[in-house]
Amino acid sequence: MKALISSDWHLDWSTLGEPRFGELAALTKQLVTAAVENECTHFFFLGDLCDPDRSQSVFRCVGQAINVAIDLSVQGVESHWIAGNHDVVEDGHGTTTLTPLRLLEDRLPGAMVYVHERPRLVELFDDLNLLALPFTSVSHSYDPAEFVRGIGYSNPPDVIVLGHLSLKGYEPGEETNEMPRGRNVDFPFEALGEYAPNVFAFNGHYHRSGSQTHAGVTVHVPGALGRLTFGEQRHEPSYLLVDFG
Amino acid sequence: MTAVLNLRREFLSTTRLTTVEADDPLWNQPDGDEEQLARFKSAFVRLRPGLDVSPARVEQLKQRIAAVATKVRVDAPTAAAVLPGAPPAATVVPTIGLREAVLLVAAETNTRDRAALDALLEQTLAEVGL
Repeated sequence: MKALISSDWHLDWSTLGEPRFGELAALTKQLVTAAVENECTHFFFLGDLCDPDRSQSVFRCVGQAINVAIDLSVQGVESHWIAGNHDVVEDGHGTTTLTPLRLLEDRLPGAMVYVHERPRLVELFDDLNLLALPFTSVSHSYDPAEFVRGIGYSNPPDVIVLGHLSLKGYEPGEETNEMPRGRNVDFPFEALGEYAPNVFAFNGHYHRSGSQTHAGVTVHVPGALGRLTFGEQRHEPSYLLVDFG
Repeated sequence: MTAVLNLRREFLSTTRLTTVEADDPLWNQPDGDEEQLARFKSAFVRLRPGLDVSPARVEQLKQRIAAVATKVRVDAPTAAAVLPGAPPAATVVPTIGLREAVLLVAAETNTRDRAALDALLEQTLAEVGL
């Protein structure tokens, strides 16, 4: 299977008071085109669509995510959406900016749209699982390491891990400095290390692309969709194309 | 079965963010900077003038860059903040309000002796230049 992986869209962001929605939304359309042109079967979004409480632009941001999900679905690409620290609404219900997308999962199963607002293990194929480790609100918090160990694989299949958590040792950037939100929840390197080398891990949250290895697990970071703050002026925004051969 | 991971990073063409630092030669090229200005086309630009750059030059450069850039902001225009002929900061006597002065006296004396309070108030006011 082939997948396109993207993260940290922040469609509601303004730079020097200038809304970035138009430019960033256009880039999300490019992602759909790239997924189709590269014959991807899957599309993974690793969190931070937009803040739910920064401005009224949240409606058009969510609308754009729905647009992308539908465009992918029409092209036969299965999409998975992970909630990030900017997406959560601290309303006690575990709502996120991705919640409206869940209607597609709940009401139109054939749409192949899956929203992960809670930790979840999904069987993609007989020998390939997907483990979603989203950022959750305080009212729905969980311990990622405990969740991973609770799976209790005796003979682990290959596992694609999609997270939006804090990576030990990864150099913090503007997601921590100028755009902080929520709390630190550590990526469960040690717990996943027990299943290595069958683990293929990807994580959002960080705006600078790169990778981090710890406890035998390498986590790949796609980085943000655009340069959002002046602390990111040397960033090279990117997405990942991954072939799980 | 352990899958083989083939990973490729694809870069996106997005709006640039650029800072014109205080040591940028652009500050010293009032007329011959057309080529240099091209680098700001469709970018968000932050200007950081040095202390020796005049406010007029800052404004001039801001206007010229604004003609090609998405948005320009001047960061910390320190040159404009220094007034010609102003005394050094250390020689400026700090001012104090009457309320602060009375609170200061009350804290110093911790007494109900009106005469002593009056004397201390006078002394404190004199010390702070009121």
